[in-house]
Amino acid sequence: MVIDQATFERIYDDLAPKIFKFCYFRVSSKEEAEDIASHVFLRAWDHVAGGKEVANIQGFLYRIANNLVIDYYRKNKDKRELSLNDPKNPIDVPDKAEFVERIDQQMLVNQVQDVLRDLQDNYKEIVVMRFVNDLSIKEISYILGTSENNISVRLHRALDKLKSLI
Amino acid sequence: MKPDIFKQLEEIGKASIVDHGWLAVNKRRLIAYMHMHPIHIHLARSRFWFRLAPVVLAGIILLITGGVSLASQNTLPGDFLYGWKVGFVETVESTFVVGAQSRADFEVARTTKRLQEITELSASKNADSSVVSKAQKRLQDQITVASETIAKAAEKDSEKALETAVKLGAVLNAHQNVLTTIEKSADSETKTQMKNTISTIENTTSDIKNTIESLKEQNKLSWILTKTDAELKVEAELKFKTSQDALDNVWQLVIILDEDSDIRLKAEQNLGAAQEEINNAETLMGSNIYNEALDEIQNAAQLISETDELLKATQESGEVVREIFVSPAPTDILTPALDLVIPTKSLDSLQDAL
Repeated sequence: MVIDQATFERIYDDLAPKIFKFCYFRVSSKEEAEDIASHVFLRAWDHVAGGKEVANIQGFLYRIANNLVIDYYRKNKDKRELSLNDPKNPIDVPDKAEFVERIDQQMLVNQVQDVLRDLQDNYKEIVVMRFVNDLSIKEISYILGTSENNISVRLHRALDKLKSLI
Repeated sequence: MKPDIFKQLEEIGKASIVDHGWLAVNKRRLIAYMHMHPIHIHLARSRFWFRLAPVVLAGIILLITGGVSLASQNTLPGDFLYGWKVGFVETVESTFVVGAQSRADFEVARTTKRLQEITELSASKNADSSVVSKAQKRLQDQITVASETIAKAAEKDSEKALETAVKLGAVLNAHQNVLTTIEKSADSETKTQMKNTISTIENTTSDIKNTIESLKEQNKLSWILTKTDAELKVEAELKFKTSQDALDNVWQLVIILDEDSDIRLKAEQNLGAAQEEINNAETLMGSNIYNEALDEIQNAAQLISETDELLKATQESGEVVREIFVSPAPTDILTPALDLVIPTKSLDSLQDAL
């Protein structure tokens, strides 16, 4: 699929809210999520502008987003580890979703964030993709570059863990 | 205890939680980025051309003469086909240019080509000094020709001639800026070449500035003598809108540059000054002083044009210049090299992402 600029703008309109949501529930900060989501589209455009074809644009964008989130975790690793020992400044406590206009949605976002906070990263990514972003097992397997069986097993374990947390 | 977490996750999946203000601003940034990094047509179509190779091969044989001309387009002084480009291709092109204004525009475009070539050549370590000297002389001659054609065009339409003169001044200024910036991080061999080229450009810029100022005065006088207040009002309002749009467009290109880069700093200074001129024009228009408002708008247009040409000069620079842009500066140089494009994340993270 060859994508021109007008098509890419439409793709942005359709998928930017979803990519933001994916990033937000992974990094727990609105500003960081917006920054990562912005870069997802710039990186994707670099790829497209280089003349390379993209067969599955949605999967491709999520794949970039996932890699950038991992990159974000890696870069902030020291800070995260340090913060675990610093009760005054725990890095994993998510920002309150004050940017969400509706109060009921704000509360909902905060409650989900609270639960996801305690889930380890590799489980969190799969839960967010499956339930928050409503992606199929097949789509998740494409994004994470692993088999559908593997995804199903990991999802099952993630749900068990999630149940144990609540 | 949160027993309804799965229901909550499902609800979150359906909800829209994105900040729509961010969505809109980010889209504008993305569009500006796409304009600055357009699709490489040749790469995008490479597979298509591969399939059509036999047909293309036959076409190439038929178009061989045209091919030589095309191949000469990106040559530099000293290259085998450079003589063909300036002696044949450009001479043929010039025969199709009719009218004083078109001739002036053509010569300014030709000056831009000479500037791109000399910038690239001056930054090259292996350039023969005699070739560089000849190219500097050719540039000087070309600027003289361009100035003469602008003067002729001004006899017929001084407003359009002023636009062309402003463009010429902006192009010269832009390349002087690029050379001055890369000269800081160049080695001693190329430093001298660059300095000589910078002085070649400097020697001509004062003449162009005088031409611009004299055309501005001529236009001002013409407005006062030939136009009614109502006509001036219409013209001022139209130009005000055009300048504000042009300013907004260039801003979109500037905001995606690296915040610490020299080019962004320079561009922000220019555009800030342009915005002030536009604001002054608005105040003057509010007091019905339209001829002075037009003057302020003209100053703004000049600053916007300079910024636009500066961005183009950096974007369209050749391989040698780009290499200097991205190479680390010597330790004794405190000023960082100009960042060409948006180095927002490292190359490593880009590779990881893709």
